[in-house]
Amino acid sequence: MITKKICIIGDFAVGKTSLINRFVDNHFSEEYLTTVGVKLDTKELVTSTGTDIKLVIWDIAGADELTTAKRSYIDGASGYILVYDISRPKTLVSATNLQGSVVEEIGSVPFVLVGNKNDLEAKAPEPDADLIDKSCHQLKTSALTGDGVADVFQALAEAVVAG
Amino acid sequence: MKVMTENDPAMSESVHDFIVERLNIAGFSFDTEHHLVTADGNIEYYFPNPNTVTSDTQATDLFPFLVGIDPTIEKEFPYIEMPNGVIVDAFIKPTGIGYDVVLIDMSLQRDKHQQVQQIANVVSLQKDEISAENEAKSKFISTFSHELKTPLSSILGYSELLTEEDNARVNISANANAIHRNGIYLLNLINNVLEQGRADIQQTTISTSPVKLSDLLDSVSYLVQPLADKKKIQFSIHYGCQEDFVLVLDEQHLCQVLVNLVTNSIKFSQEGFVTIEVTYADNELQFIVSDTGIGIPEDELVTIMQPFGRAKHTRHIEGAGIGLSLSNTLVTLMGGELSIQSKLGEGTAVTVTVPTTNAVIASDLNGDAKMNDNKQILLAEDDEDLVPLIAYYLEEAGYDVLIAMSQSELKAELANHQPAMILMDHNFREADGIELTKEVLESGYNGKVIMLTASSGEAIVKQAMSAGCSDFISKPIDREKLITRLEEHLND
Ligand SMILES: Nc1nc2c(ncn2[C@@H]2O[C@H](COP(=O)(O)OP(=O)(O)O)[C@@H](O)[C@H]2O)c(=O)[nH]1
Ligand SMILES: [Mg+2]
Repeated sequence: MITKKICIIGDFAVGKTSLINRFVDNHFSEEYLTTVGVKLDTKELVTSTGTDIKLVIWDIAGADELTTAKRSYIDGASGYILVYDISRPKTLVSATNLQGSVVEEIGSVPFVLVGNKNDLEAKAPEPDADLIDKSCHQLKTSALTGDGVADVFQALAEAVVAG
Repeated sequence: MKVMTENDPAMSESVHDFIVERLNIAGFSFDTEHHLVTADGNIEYYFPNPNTVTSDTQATDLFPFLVGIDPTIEKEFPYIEMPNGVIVDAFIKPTGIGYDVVLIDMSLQRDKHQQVQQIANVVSLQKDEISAENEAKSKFISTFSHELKTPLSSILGYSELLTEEDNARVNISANANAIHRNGIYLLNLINNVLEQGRADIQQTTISTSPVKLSDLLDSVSYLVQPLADKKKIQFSIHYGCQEDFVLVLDEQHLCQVLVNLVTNSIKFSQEGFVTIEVTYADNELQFIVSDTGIGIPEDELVTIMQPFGRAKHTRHIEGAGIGLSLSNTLVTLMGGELSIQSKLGEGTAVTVTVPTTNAVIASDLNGDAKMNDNKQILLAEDDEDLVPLIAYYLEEAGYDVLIAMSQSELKAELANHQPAMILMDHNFREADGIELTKEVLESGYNGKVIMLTASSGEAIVKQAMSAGCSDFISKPIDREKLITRLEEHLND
């Protein structure tokens, strides 16, 4: 069994905590409770090549930029999930900026680009081809319905194991 | 007093204990192999089960946040949640023979911080929502004013032509038609906005009454025919059931829905046909409004059902864009359903189904109804503009109208006729309509008296009722309300 750290990054209220709750506990809450600091969760997966992997998932407080304090949180991450909310266009702009800051901090590690709240009307445009190219996978999800959530973590686990 | 010096660095044990207790400090030393060497401080606070903290324990088992971290570099992680829910600031300090992990309880601070951040985030979310709403509103206002201006300037232009001295050259009927058509368009537009406003605050009330199917469709036709004529589009109604079915329906709202759908069809067609097909079966009334217009692409079928959402390829076509979503709302409120089938370039068909009851053939109903026995109404009103208008409404609704514009005329009419009803102006010439009502009733008139009044003060209503009025109707007169109220009274 290998153990890897991954982070979930994105503007506030895009549904980072909800995606983790859906994935780890298969649970969803309508209520919004801002995450301050970091909550860690772990979940074990098996990749398509048969590798057992334990993910230590860092749920980092949402923001449109990486402040100095938060930069330390992504240290040592083998991959990350970059989330925006398809119903709020400005969260896609934040995601694009955050991605740049992450590269500055830890270099380029695989990430999955996620448009969450797929159950709502899409107001954000499709992400730039440039951002999609950098990502190892692009997905639309809904933490509310569970749609696509497991695929996100699976895709990242595959990419992390493949190195 | 004991003073600490560099030679005597040991803190008094009690002070040390106090700080450890108070801040729930705990320290853990690991060797280069990440095995636990020693642990000190309030360990139980973080690990209530002592078996989890032994010399075999791997650093990452105790502290998952160490996964992926290089502990030979000093680090600090503020506000990390431990597996038991406690929030700590975690410090990693290299020691040369391994590293230390020090935890300080920050639960209280984090909670305070959390509350402040929560408010800030929620406010920011609401601000975004409000600005999106405002944007939609101002967009609506600018579209709507444009929509108002176009028919209004036609009305002004054509009516000016009609007042020109040299009338011989002016085609009066064509101009009057244009004024009428634009007036109807305006009326429908304003009705939609008002209705949308009511729907927004959930104040739409669905009120049903028996309606003859052909009457409903005649009103629709009356409103849309001029628009179709103008664009040279063939508009027709096909009955798949008897035209004179009497159904229990919300006539006003259903008319509005059909007018909206047909108007849309006309708007989005350059030529061809617009039809309404009506069928009735199993207590369900169905309308299919279809056209041979430009159609709607599949991916836009959802957006056009939202207020102000119009298909992208129709931006150049007039219309405030609430007709369809409003129709959908109204039909849903009536307990029915609205659905759209469309093919780009071929046309659109909108199907509306509404539940209804009590179908009786109108001719049967009329057979024993009192309504037709006496359809004479006496209008006692002195406003020169209002009289022809109300008389027109009544005549269109099939009533025989007598007019009295003064007290003497009123008496003369009553001497010669026995109308089923008198519509009495509250302010009739110099006389008080309430006094007149009393007089008329005392003199032996046995029909109904309904007061027309511009004021709806409670006192007046009470006076009118106690004078013997059956009802009162407030001005400005709403045509449909007037007719339905009269029917109610003449039927009971
Ligand atoms: N409709 C919908 N709401 C969601 C979804 N995911 C999260 N939310 C809601 O969005 C809000 C913010 O979610 P949260 O997970 O706290 O966002 P975070 O700040 O990124 O961790 C909460 O009210 C959630 O209930 C989703 O997929 N669909
Ligand atoms: Mg969160």
